[in-house]
Amino acid sequence: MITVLILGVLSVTAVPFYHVWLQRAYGTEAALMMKQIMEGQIGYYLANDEFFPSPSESTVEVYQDGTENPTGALSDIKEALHVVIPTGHHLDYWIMTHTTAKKEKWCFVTIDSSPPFELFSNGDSYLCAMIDGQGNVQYLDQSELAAKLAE
Amino acid sequence: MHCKYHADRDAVYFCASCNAPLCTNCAEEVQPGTYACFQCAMLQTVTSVGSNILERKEVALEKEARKRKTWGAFHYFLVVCTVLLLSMWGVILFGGKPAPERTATMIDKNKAGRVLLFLVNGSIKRFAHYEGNRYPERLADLVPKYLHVKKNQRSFLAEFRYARDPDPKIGYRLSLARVKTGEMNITLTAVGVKYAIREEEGP
Repeated sequence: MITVLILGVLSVTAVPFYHVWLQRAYGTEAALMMKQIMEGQIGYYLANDEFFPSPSESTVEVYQDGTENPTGALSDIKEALHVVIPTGHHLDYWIMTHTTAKKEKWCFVTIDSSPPFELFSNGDSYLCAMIDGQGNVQYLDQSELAAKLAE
Repeated sequence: MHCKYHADRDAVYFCASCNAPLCTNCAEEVQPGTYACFQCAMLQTVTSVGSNILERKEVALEKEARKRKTWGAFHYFLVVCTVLLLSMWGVILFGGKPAPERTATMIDKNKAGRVLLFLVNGSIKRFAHYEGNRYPERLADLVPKYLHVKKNQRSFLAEFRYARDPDPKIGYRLSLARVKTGEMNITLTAVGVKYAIREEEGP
């Protein structure tokens, strides 16, 4: 009786454990992919004096269901940044470049969990970073930026 | 010498315990070749029974103590299950890495507006992808599924000007609501970005 009870508690705990473990694994993957994309962007910038995708103000989207916008985005990313973006991992990728009026070049990369789930132990469900022409990578907190804007 | 209990009979044995002379009737053979009087024999029997009970009790206690000391399969099972449970709850509550450290503090208010403009644009595109190729009616529809801000932070959305465009190709127009004179006004649409220098003071 006690053994059955213990096994019951174990199996009941195993379900949320597996989900959390899987989510954190995707979080680790997102952090690793962000690092690789940023490193790829630096390499691309050094070779082309601009970020990928070019021309400036272009956007590249890769969704977890394999949808690419524009078509061929996955192979373009692989060719330009030497990064293979895996699909079907519940992560959406969005990359955009921008040139400011002062000719500063920015690149934004967002990796979102889809549907939203906690990628990291602090409860964040996304990873967002920007890089500038000096190679400064800044991880962004949308909530903090919103608070700053609302000041 | 006569028997202690029968004065008319000769003593044949002596009690091994009290040395009393005993006749054949009064002598009890307590052990082979050892004789005792009735009283001593009774006393010996009672004592041996008592000591037997004590011995048995001691043996039982020892066995129990030994049983307690030796771990059975159930004990190991219990320990393994406890370790498993604790480690699983550890992973559920504290598992995984925290998100990389956010360095957005380096961004000033003016820059924050522009950075958020692009991030909101990305969120609109994700909304369109997952909500059947339609664009949100209001920017507040993006929170919190597509735009990761707290619900009580929606007021910052007033810093943006957003409207759906009747032309399905253009989709929407998103720009900063307040742009100073002489600053570049960026308008983001589904097809790209439009730039214009603001000539008048923004509303």
